[in-house]
Amino acid sequence: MESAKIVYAIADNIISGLGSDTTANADSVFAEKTGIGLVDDKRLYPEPFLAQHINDNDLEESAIYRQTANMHRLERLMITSASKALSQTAVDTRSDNVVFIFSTTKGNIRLLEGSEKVPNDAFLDQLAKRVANFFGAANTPLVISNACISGVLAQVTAIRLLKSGKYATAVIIGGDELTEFVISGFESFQSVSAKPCKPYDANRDGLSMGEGVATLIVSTDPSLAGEQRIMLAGGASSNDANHISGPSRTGDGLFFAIQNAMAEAEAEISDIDLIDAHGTATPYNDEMESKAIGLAGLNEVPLLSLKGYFGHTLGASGLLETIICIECIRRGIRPRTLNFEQLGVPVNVNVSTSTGPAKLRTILKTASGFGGCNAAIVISTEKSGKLYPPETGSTTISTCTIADKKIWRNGDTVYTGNDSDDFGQFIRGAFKAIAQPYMKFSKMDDLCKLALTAAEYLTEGENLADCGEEGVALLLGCRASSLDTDLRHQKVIEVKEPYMPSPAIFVYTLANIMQGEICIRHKFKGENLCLVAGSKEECENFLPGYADLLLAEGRAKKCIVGYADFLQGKYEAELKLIEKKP
Amino acid sequence: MDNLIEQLKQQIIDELNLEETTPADIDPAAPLFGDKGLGLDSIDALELVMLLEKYYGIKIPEPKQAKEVFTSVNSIAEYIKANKK
Repeated sequence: MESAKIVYAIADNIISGLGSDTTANADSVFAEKTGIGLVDDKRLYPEPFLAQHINDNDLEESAIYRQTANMHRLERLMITSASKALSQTAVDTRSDNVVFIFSTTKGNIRLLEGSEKVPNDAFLDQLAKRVANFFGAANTPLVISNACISGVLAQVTAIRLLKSGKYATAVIIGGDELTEFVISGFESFQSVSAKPCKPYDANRDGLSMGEGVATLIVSTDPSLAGEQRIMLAGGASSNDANHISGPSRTGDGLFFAIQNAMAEAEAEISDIDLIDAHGTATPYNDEMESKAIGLAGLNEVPLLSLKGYFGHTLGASGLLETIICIECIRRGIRPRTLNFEQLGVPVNVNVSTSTGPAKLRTILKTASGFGGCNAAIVISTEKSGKLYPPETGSTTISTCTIADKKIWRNGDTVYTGNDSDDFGQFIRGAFKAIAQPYMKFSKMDDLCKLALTAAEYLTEGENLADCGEEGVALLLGCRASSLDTDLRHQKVIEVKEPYMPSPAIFVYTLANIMQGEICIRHKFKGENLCLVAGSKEECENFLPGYADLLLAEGRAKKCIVGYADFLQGKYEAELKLIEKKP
Repeated sequence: MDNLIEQLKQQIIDELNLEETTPADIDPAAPLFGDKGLGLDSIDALELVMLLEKYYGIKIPEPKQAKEVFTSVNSIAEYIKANKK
C-alpha cells in the first residue's frame, strides 16, 4: 500500500543577531535590515571582518537559556531555539513517533582549542544526544553533517522519514557558531568579502560570515498543521562530481536536485513563485546557480538570496532560510536580494530587487556546498507531493571492509598490508594495488583515502555507468566526522606568527568531502547523505533503511551505503553496494 | 636561477602533497594548471600563494596576477627574482 502522508511545517524558530524568534528575524528581512556588521575580536580573527552573529545578552531573558548555563554555548542556543518552537505546538517530544534531526557542520568545534586529543563533547553525536536528551527524546537523534547543504538535506531526510511512515514528527535543529576555526578557513580560501556580500551582483567578491540557530518542526499529523497549511512537498540531493571546493561549471548537479525535488512535489515551472537559492555571493557559486536555474527553465522566477541579511550561517542556513520562506508565504511578502545592484551571472536570472506584497504559494529552496553537494526542497501551500511506493527491500551486490591493515571484498581477503606499515603506507599500497595512479589521492586526508579506497574495491568490476549519471546514491556514516583533520587545522591556526591557515587542510574539515572525492572519481551525481552517529551500529540502524526508501522511490538504481571512520590512526570502513530487490 | 628552480620544485612537491612526483618529473616550462603538466587546481593555487609568502616573503595582492605568476615553475622563479627583498 502507498503511504498517504503529507508533511506539514507546524512550528519554527530562528535565533540570530536579528532576533530570537522567527517574527523578529522576518521583520528585519521585510524592513531590509541586515545583521551584518564589522566584528573586531582578535579571538575570532586577527583583523576586523564582516559578520552577522548572535548576541548572547539578548538570550538572557529566556529562562531555558539561563537554566542550561552548564552546557556548551551551541547546545544552549539549540535548546533555546527548539523550546521556543516546541512551545507553539502540542508535540510530545518523549514519544517514539518523534525523531530529532540535527544539522551542523562543526558543532562544538571550539572545544578543540588548545587540545591535543578530541574531547568527547566535540563529537557531533554527543552534541545531538545532549540536546535531544534535554527534551527526553525516545529515539537516537540523527546528525546530518553535509557541509552547507546540511539544513536543506536535514529537511529532505525528514520528508522521507515522515512520508514513509517511519516517524510522525521530526524536530529539525540546525546551527553553527562563528568561530576562529571557520572564519580562518573561509579567509584562507579568499572567500570572504571586505564588503557586505552582494549575491548575483557584477561586483560580488565573496561571502559574509554569519551565525544562527534554527528549529523547524514538521509533522504528518494534520491536527497540528494549523490554519494556513504549509507543506514540504518534495526534496532531493545531488553531487556535482566536479571538484571538492569549486562548484560545477555547468550547474547540472544542482539542476538534478531541483528537477527531482520539483518532480516529487509535482510542481511545474509555472507553480514556482520564488526561488530562495544559496546565493553566497562568491563568484563561482552564484555563476553555477544561474546556470542550474537556467537548465531548470526557472529564469523568469524571482530569485532571492538571504545572505545579505544573515550572512552565511553554515549548518543553520538551509533551515533558517526555509523558515524565512515559510514566513514570506504566511505574510504574502517577497523580499529583495539585499545589496544586489547589477546582474553579474552568465544566465539572465530574475533577481528580486524590491520588497513588497506577493502571492506566494510555492517556493523552491536550494543549497550547494563543499564536496560538490546540492540539495533542493519545495515549500508549498497547495502542493503536497507524490505518495511513496511501498518498500521492497534490497539485495547486496558487493561488500568491502577495511580494518587492521586488511581489505576484504565479499568476505575474502583481497589485500594485506605489511605489519610495519603505518596507515598512510598501508592505504597508499592498497590503492596502488587496484588503481592506476591518481593525482588527487596524495592530496586527500586520511578519511577520504580510506573511503575512496573502500569504494574502489567495492565497485571493482561493477558496471555502474549503466545506472546513468544520477543512478548511484552515496549514503555514508561515520563517528568522528572530520575531527582528525579538524585537529590539524586547529593546530595550524594556533600558530599566530606567521598566521597561515591552509585551504588544502581546511577543505577536508567536513566529513562529506569523502563523498565528494568518491563522486568525482566515479562521476556519481546522484543522492548524497553524510550521517554522523555514535557508532557503526547507530549508522547501520538508519542508513540501510534509508537506502531502501531511495531505491523503492526510484531515486537511485544502486546505493553505496556504509561506514567510514578515521581518527588519529584508528580506522574502519565497511561499505555495501546494493540494489532494489527484483 | 637553476638552484631556485630546483628548490621551488621541491617546495611545491612538499607543500602541495604531490607524493608521487619527483623534482625530475616537473618540466619548469610546462603549465602547472589544467589537464597538461601537473594538473594543479584552485586549492593548489591558494597554497602556492602561501608558499611564496612563507619561503620568500612575497605577497601576491591580486588573484588575477596570481594566474600569470603561476603559469609555470619558470614564471614563479622569475617573479621571485623580481620581487624578493
